[in-house]
Amino acid sequence: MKRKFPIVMAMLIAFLFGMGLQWSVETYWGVTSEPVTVAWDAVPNATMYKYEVRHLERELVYLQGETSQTQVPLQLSSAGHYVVRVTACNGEGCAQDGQGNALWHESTDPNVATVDGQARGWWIYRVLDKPSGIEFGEQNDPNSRHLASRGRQRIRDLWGPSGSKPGILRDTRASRSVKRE
Amino acid sequence: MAARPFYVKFTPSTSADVVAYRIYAQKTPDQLQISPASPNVIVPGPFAPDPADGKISIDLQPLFPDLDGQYLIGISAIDDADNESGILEGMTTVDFVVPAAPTDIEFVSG
Repeated sequence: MKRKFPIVMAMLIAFLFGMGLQWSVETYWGVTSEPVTVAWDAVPNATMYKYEVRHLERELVYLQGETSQTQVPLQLSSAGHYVVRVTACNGEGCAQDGQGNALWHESTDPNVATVDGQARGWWIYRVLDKPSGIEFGEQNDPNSRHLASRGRQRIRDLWGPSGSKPGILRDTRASRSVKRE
Repeated sequence: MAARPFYVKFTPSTSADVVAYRIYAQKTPDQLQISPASPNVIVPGPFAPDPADGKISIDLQPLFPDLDGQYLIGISAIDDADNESGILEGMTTVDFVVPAAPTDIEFVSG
């Protein structure tokens, strides 16, 4: 359980290298409470865009939706890496490749994604938002007593060598809006 | 008699998937900041924030029964994939250690 993310990431990196893709994506750091906006160029004749946000470590479609705008605000409230993909649609259907398959453009693909105007893939990495508003006191709180007595039963099993703890993520950069030029 | 409860209260992480909080207790001035090596305990959820202020209260005494002095208390959130948030820190003085029993008990006068 403790090594879940590193193992998944190692597998992902190995997979992408195996596919012959260059491993050079920009990471947009931020905490899970920060909203982020993703944008793209308007496509002629498109009346609507579909988007999907995949959570890589959890291997699921975290968000999906449709919009007539060329940008969408996202709230990504789980820690981990996110990849965004977008397709354009109108009354005739949605974008297709030469073989008639659905055509989505993905943020990690440097052929369709940009970072600061330069062709480059990107993804979003969110770290857990830390608690806030710490205070101390002797006030007797029935809820606290319940928590403490429950915790006491389990804590004995949770003590472990400090070296086995995961690293602490302190360094975060503000998220940025990203627009494909 | 056990020491009185002493609570740390905090506003919970807004992140989804938080399943536990790690509570650190670093004696000062031995160390001036919390580090991953600081003594700590994981308190598993579920948590029920106080409806009045939305804060979670945790009694430190059963978690760290030997605290005696000034401490930097740290709190971080942990999700179901074992990711850990940054650490919220606060300084407090606690004394959970009961005094030793007196010795040399003697009869002074009749």
